[in-house]
Amino acid sequence: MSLRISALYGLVALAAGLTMFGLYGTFYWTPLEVNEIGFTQKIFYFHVPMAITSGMAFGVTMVASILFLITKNLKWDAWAVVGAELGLIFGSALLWMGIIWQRSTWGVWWTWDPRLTSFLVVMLLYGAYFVLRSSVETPVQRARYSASIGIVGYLAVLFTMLSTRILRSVHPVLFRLSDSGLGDSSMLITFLVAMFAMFALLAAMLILKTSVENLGEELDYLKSEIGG
Amino acid sequence: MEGLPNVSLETAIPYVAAAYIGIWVILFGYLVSLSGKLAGLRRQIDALTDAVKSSSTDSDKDKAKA
Repeated sequence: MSLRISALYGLVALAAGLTMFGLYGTFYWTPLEVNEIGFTQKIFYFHVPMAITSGMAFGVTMVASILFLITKNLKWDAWAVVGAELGLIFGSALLWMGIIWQRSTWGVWWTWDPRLTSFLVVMLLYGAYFVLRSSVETPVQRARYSASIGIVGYLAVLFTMLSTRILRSVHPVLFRLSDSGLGDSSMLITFLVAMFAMFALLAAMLILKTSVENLGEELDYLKSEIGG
Repeated sequence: MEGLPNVSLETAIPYVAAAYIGIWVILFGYLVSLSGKLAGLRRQIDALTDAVKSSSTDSDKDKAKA
């Protein structure tokens, strides 16, 4: 068994174990929040880690895009694509949780709040990233154009992160420097476990997705060899 | 999080359940689809490799006959 496959199985097992513990902590260990938003507070244990993981995946795209522009090595373009795809996957899950939470708390499915709107723009930008890629045929040109979206897109990610602090937003500011918002130690541990579960899942998906990309390239090469 | 309405437990449970079920459907659905793609690519590569091997064995036999 190759090192990559062993790492993949290890990370999936780690993610599954941490997720189970995170869910146990969320529903059985942490106290029920009764003073402010009640049971819907349980959504935040995985919602916030999902947001951080989504930001990390888009960060992979940004770093890989910069490295491509410096080195012109298409390997970095492949990493940028993987990061953008995973960012969209985690972003979709994040958006789903957010929409369900606001429906339960505010009674609406959507509101044009700065945080929600800016994150929607992020999702649309990275969606456009893939539309652009499918419309440019030359690999180097495609990589150059998408690298520019990969870098500019991350500015939108940063803006989304700061939007509740710099604009008038109804989205809760979950963490403040003066008060983490996780008063009980069980809440903090559950939150951290959920966060590491999402990191492990992201790492497993990165390995799996890059393996798919590499095998795809190998298949194309074999086909061209046989055809030639 | 001041100023947010406190949702009753009965009202909140279906929403929290929907939120958690939804994210696992998205994340594990994607993981399963990637695993399926990987297995499919491996099968295609193995089939091509076998085809290349058998065609090279056939040409070796033809050369030996000649």
